Amino acid sequence: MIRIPQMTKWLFSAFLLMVAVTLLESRPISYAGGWTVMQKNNWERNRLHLHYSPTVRNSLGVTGELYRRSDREDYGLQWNHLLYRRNTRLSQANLYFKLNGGLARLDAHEEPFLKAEVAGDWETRRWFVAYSATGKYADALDDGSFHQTGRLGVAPYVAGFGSLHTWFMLEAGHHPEEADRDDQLILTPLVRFFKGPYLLELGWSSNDEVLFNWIVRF
Amino acid sequence: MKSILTMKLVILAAFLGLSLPLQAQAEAEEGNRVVAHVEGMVCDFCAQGLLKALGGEDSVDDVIVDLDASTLTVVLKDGASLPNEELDRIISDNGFTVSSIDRKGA
Repeated sequence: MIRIPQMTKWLFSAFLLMVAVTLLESRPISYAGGWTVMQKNNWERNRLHLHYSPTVRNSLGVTGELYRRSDREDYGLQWNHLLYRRNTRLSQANLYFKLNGGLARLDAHEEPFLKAEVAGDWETRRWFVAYSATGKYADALDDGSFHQTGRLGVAPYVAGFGSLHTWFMLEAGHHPEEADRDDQLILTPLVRFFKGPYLLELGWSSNDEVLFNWIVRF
Repeated sequence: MKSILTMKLVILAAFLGLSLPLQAQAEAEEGNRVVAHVEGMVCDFCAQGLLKALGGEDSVDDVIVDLDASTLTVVLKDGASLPNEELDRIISDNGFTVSSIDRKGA
């Protein structure tokens, strides 16, 4: 029997309501919707996320992740919403809100979880800057946590459309809730490649772990 | 002397006869091209959505992306049209901003 506290019930209801509102507010599809599958693998977790974008402002998807330090598993739904975009001839800036909720499982114990994230990025064809702040809550499984991630990237060459694009990036992650000091502030140099609908990232973090991310769009 | 002159005239006529249709064809092709200057198109991933959206239009034969020039060249099918307002709407719905649209040969 799963115990669901009032606070979690309220947060989960809010999540479902927002998903419903998003579906209602979605504009008619004037172009073929895009599907994306992405997998993130780093020192903290292995995460798979499949989503569909009905418009350029929203995506809805399913997620599954395994936290490597604790063996906790999260399975849920995720809504990504583009809050703001600024285009110029040489750059694009975005501000996103992401909400991920579902069921967390640890040692045969299950609890609803909720994560909220605000993320922003700015990029030109040469430079890339990104920041995200994430709060997560799973009642009995954790006391709630907050972490931040930032990225700075530079392209060693500016590639044309359809060519292989290469980026050198440095990711900094702040996870104050981690018990091990080496996991509290992590720096990860990485290289990103993308060509057409495929993206691949390879890196090595300061706490001596591999980063391996990939994305495919179709 | 007269025969040389006649030969030159024949060659000139042949050249004009060949080049004029070619020029007309080139002008017609230019007329089928619409160039949109797009803001925010800074990566391949960005442009993929535009290709997908415009490629699905009945009037569109081909789409050429130039990230250096920040342009999207839409090649229309013979006899087809794509009004500026419609092209602007498709690009805007994909999250980009159209700064101007050129219609070559129009």
